[in-house]
Amino acid sequence: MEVETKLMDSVTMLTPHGRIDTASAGEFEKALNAVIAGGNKKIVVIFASVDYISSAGLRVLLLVGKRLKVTKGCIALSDMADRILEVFKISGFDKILTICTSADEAKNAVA
Amino acid sequence: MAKITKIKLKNDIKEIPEIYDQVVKFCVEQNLPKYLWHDISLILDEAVTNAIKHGFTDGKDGRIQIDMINSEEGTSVRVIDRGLKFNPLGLPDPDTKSSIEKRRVGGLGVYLMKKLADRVNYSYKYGANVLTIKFDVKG
Repeated sequence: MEVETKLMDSVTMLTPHGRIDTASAGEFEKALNAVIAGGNKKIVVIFASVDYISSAGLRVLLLVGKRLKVTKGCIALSDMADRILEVFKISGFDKILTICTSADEAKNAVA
Repeated sequence: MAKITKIKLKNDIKEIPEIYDQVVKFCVEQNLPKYLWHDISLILDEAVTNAIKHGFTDGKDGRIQIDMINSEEGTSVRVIDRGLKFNPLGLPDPDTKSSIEKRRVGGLGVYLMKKLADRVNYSYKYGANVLTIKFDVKG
């Protein structure tokens, strides 16, 4: 799974492509951890090119969310397809992570 | 007449990406609504992951079979393996109302399966774990 990374005004914008499934959740986690290890605490993950995210991927987001909470960082997610948003709502993750409609909105949310 | 598509996988998470394309092909052939491409793929990812994690803890090779069925009664998918006897429906639900600090990792895969599908059943027959997931949708 490819994860595009771009820095925009001190916010790191990550765009994963494809499925964040059990097999690729590890790569997703590596990409996020590399950003945090680099000292970047403002992160946006754009879901426009994600087909689905499984519980393995949700677990990665939960761990990253917890870590950023402790280090006073911020993460926001954007551009989710309806079914992906539904998964976040079923899991209760819409209440513990910031979900925005667009990447711009997400960027402003973490700035 | 029921249409059945079978997928045979090794008990290795690297096989999981194989599932998606087969699910999309089945859904398109059977004229199923687009949301099922997502729901069935996700559910099978979770079911196969659990089968590998809990059924094949000895590291030996094993096989997992997926049947996708579309009939007059609706659409269902079945995950069959001959690993250790394991009922994933017995796992406790996660606390979806916890704060992020208190939220525990785990239990989400089966919970998503139960919430996205219309019915989920488990049985252990002739030495095989059989997980059946049903959707009240016909093609």
